[in-house]
Amino acid sequence: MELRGVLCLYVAKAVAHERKIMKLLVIEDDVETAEYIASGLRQQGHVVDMARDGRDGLFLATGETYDALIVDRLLPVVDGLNVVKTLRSTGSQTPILFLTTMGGVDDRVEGLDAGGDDYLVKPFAFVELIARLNALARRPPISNDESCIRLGPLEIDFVRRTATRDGQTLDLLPLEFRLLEFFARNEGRIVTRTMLLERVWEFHFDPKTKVVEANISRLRTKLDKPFETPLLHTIRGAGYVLRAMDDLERA
Amino acid sequence: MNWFRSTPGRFALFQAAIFSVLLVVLVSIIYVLASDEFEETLTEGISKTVKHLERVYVRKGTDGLAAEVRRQMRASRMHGYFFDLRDADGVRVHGNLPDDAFKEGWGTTHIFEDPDDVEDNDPTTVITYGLKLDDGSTLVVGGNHERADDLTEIILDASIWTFGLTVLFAISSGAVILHWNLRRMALITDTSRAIIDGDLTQRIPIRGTNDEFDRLSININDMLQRIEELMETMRQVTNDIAHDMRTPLGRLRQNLERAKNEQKSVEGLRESVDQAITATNQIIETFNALLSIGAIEAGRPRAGFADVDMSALFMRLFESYEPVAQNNDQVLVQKISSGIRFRGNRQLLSQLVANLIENAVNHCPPGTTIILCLRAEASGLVFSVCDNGPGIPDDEKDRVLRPFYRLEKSRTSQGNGLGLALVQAISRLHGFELALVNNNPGLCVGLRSVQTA
Repeated sequence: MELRGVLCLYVAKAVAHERKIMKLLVIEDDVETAEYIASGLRQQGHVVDMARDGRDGLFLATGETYDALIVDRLLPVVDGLNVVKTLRSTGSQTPILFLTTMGGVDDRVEGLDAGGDDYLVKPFAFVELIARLNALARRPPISNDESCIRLGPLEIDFVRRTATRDGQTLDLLPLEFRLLEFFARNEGRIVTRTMLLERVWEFHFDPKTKVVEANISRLRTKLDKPFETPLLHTIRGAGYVLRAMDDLERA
Repeated sequence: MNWFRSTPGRFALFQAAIFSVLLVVLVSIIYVLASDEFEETLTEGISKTVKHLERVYVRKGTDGLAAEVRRQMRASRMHGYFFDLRDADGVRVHGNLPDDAFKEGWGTTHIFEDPDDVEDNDPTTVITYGLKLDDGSTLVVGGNHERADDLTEIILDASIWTFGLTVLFAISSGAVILHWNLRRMALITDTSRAIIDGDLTQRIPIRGTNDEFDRLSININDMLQRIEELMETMRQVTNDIAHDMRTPLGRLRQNLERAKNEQKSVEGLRESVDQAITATNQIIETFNALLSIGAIEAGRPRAGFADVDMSALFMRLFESYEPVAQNNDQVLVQKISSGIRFRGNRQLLSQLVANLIENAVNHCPPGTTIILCLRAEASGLVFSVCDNGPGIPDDEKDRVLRPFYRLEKSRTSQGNGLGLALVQAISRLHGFELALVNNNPGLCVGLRSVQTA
């Protein structure tokens, strides 16, 4: 057994139960879409405010505190991009998700540059929206500064790019490590296929092959198969989730 | 021919004007220099004569002077000198100048050369020098300005001729150029008009002289070719969309109808709805792909070009697709040179290569080997995805790049046929040359760029 350097001391704390109620603001001018989003979110238990144009949206957003904003880009009076820019210029750190038909290669970059945290193109699946909101609205338990973390049996060294489970080194290829890293940073939260494609692969298109599935399968072979308990789970119709910490560690 | 409406016409007129002005200036200079020279010679001569006569007066007195003047007059007939000697009362002693010729110092007067010729209307100018002597008599010595006058006339004539000829030349050469120009322009404008009126197949004739008109015409023809291709593509796409969308749209309708009519259980309903959603997703995907192709063809993403580590990008793609190939019982191999960089849009380049790999994976049977290649050559970078699968029949190679074209044998499989059209759009945006080559067996899709980062 090789001598390891500094022991990985940082032990992550799990996020609070995902069913925590969020206060959300939806700025969308199309009535049907707005109702669809709002009712879906309310069904999940969240509190939803709505605005029909950019000016109202800005007014509400600056007056109240929200866990996250869902903003359409094409809005009357003040357009989505300007709403976000204005909010950011006031120092607001509220997570903002763009929800828009403008799905071009440059549009996404524009949205993120303006201060958006995520960009979802319409039409979208509702699970996608939920998964992304969860990813945005919770403060991550693992800050990006940590070089090494421990999640239950898993230990991941971001600097040396190594991972171990129960002390055993996992022989991961670079892509597999990046996958595991992404799951680890989103431990306990559902991660959709599209999120994986966008963040891990940086593909902004839909592949015609089962790239994600094949690589998850590979990861599972190395991460779960040799051990008793599977950490990586598939949630049908939604995505995948890494549950490495047991309930005792959850606040 | 309207001279002012064409550039060569205006230029010819401009040239004529410039030349005229230059000529006038030149002629003036010559005139001034030459006439100065003449004047100097003349006045020098007069001065010399005056001095000589003064000396005679001093030595021989008034009578001696008179005799000398008479002698000089007779001798001077041919030299063009004139004299006038008058006594203190103004009575002429000797002379051939008019009465009012005397003026102290330098002056001018006019005489008629031949006093017998009454028809002579052309007086000659005479430069005079007048001298008052001690005893009151006056002496005038004059010189014929005729040569200088003649000179002026000659120069004037010459300049009028030259002016006339130059202007004539400028205008006639201008006219030739203008005519020639108009003819070439007329070719272009006429053909353009025919094209605008609807006949896209027309092209501007090239004369083969490789002059600027030819080069312009070649470029316009290339533009027209591109427009024709785009229009043809559009026509084909609209056709193909209608054709290809019918399947998922049909399925969508069927599922919804089934849900309405047949399904009694909630589970059954849910299943029909799920299938309807799947069909809808397929349609959405197709439209997204179409939109991206449209945006890419319009060249917009070029603004987002940056320096891309191509070797790393390719390696990532190899890593990603290696398990996919393995699941298909295929082998994915890489021949990626390191350190290759390129200026482009990273997302689109990813999509391009991913597309090619996926095509190979999806269209080749189990057991196929697929090779992903990237290398740099002197002229730029070269990459390819080659397989030893069934390949594409030669006659379908050209059509395969069109949007929605599906090889006959793959018409039934998944996908919407936009893959290679997207590949072509992205490669065009980045200035790649795309080639489909028979790999014997199998297909090789190769791209080459002449740009290096």
